[in-house]
Amino acid sequence: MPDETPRPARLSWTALYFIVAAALLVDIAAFATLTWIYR
Amino acid sequence: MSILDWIVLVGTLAAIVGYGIWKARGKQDMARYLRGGNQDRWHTIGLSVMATQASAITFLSTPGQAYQDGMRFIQFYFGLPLAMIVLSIVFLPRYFQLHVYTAYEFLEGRFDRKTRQLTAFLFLLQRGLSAGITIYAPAIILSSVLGWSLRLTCLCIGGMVIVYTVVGGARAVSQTQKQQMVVMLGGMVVAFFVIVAHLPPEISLGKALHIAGTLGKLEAIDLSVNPSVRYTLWSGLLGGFFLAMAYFGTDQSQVQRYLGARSVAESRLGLLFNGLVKIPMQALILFVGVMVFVFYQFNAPPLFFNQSELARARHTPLAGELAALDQAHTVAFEHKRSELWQLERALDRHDVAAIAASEESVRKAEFATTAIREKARQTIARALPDAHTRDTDYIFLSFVMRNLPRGVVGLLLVVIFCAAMSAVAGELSALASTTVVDFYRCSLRPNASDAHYVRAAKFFTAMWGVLAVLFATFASLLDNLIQAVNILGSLFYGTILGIFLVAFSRWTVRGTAVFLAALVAEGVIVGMFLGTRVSFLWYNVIGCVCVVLFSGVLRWVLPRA
Repeated sequence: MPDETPRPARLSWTALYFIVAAALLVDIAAFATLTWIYR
Repeated sequence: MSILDWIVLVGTLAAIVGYGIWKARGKQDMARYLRGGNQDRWHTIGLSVMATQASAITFLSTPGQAYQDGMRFIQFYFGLPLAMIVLSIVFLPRYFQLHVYTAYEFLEGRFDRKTRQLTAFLFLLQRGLSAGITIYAPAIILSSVLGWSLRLTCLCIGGMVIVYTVVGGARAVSQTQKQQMVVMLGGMVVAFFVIVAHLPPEISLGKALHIAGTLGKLEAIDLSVNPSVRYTLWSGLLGGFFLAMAYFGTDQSQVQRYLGARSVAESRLGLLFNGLVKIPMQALILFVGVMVFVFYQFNAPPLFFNQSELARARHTPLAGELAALDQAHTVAFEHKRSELWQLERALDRHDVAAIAASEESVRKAEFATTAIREKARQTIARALPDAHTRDTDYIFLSFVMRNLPRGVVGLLLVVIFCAAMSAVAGELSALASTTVVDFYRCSLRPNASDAHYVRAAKFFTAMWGVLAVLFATFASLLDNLIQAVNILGSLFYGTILGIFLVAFSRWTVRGTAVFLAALVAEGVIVGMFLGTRVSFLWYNVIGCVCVVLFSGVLRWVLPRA
């Protein structure tokens, strides 16, 4: 199938993957803080 | 339910179903019916992937789980974003390159037909049975709380889904799922603010969190390394990663959603969107449950949330025992509430010593009320051996029906119906595509016309839908079977993922070696299930690792197999 959508450069995909992984770390840190504050 | 609630409920559901059918109008061929014609943008993919996973039980049970057990369930989702990244890099490009309709089609090219049909069969078995439960589980709660007939509720949910899924195929499914997911997210945000507004005026959000934290409801992270503890940071990250890889990468109900994208790029963006939004969404649902818990610290909760079972138990010889427990529960609640007001005043004064003393008293009072509730549960179980005594599933809906304003009740019922319909629609469409592509076209009618396969897909969608509704209607007679089906899914996922990982690797493993490795790995998992207490999240890791390892060994032992 033709890939009509302009494909971000390779670096852009890497950046997107990094953002998703970083968001996970932020989520875990936020829940760890919540646990720690109200333990 | 008020007229306004009915208008909101019926109007929204009719609008969504109508929109789905309208968007899927036009000439249908196989690519359009089974893959949505590859027209979907990333936001449709992202939302429909989320809607397929979010069943009604997500919205009914999760707040109840937070009420009972706190926020720890959130750890279950920690592996998901990482899985979205790996799937975007490894799985998506292969599926798109080969123009497959189903994930299992890919396995025939890589191995052989028996490996393809084994995995497709495992999918049909597991998903075919769970489609019935996806209808039954919310229907039993809705019918009990709202006083509707169970069969009619199953028929309503199933009937609406069958109509638009048969008529519009994958495109109608993804278009309706997009609308349904927006309604679900919006509904839960509204629910959160309405519940916070229902707390006593002296209780700010900060104080509500303090009270929830004091009673252990905000312990989101558990660092325990004990494998029998179900939700820990480690089981969530590792077990959750493998489970999400298996579910999103090899379960046709998910694969079909992102195969409908315009391009690999749109598909990837959809999955990454899911990876970003899923944890905050689940956190919101859990927070709603925590706020309901705080609400019931200041407003008397019922002794048992499943009111219809409680009412039934009150007509048995154990009614006197229940009345005594009800009285003891009221006294214990009043005592706890007065301790909580003392804590609230200590918080206002910033009196550290008084806060610590009050926290201890509140914990003791909570322990006493929980013990009475547990006694009530046991009494109901003795009075009615067939009763559903897990009342956490009823907490959220009974709270909504008793306390929320008109209109909001209708909106939250829409959320639950939307969740049930979106999950079932995804399942029916995937079951039909697997039946047609991996069995009917592959083994029964290999050279029929495109139009013939579309008709067959419509027939199989309706067939799976009718089977799911029938299963849901009679599921109450088969309680043990329901538990078996719930367990079944987690027993197969690791093995299926292992087969796919070997397929995506560059190893020169042949079909029979993988087939045998899968059978041995499945034996190991069933053995663990029967003989150990290891949490089910770990089955996904172990099953997958076993298939990869055994395939590696068999590759040397049986190089020609």
